[in-house]
Amino acid sequence: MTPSSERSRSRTTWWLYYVVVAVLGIYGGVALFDWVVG
Amino acid sequence: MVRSGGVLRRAFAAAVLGLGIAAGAAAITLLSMLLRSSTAIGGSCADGDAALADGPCRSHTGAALLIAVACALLCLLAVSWGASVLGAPRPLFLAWPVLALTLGWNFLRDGFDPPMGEGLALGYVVGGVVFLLLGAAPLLLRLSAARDVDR
Repeated sequence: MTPSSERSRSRTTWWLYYVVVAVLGIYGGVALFDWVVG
Repeated sequence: MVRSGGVLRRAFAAAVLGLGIAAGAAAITLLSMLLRSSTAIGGSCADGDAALADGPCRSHTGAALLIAVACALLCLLAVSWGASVLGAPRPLFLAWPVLALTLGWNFLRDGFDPPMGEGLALGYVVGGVVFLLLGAAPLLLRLSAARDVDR
């Protein structure tokens, strides 16, 4: 069984990963908009 | 051999999950920028008879909307699959609140500082408040439910 502190750390790592890729996605969205709509 | 296959599968799932989150963020960004580009010309446009609207449309906004929908679908599929393979938290419940709060913020900004020059655009302000409520309510409900489970 996984200790709850380890599970919590793993969840925090996932959420950090989500934040980083979401920021990259925002930049991607801006670039896509500029490319398509100009 | 089996173990390295498992590691590869998890690495692939993590990449797909990240791609899905990025696609979701890109979809919301595209929709937000489409809204901004629409309100910047008064909220309506026409390609054929410009007398029917405030002005001509910006080009290729339909294509941008289609790309946003495709990104949203990619996000849904990739995040569902990646999170289930990895046992990672599912952030899809955030999609609607983030979209509604983003659009609400855009409406409020245009309401209090209208791009067409009026003092206050009441319609945009009302729309902004409605979108803020639509985004905040499910988010607060979900967070309070999660807190009750943790207790």
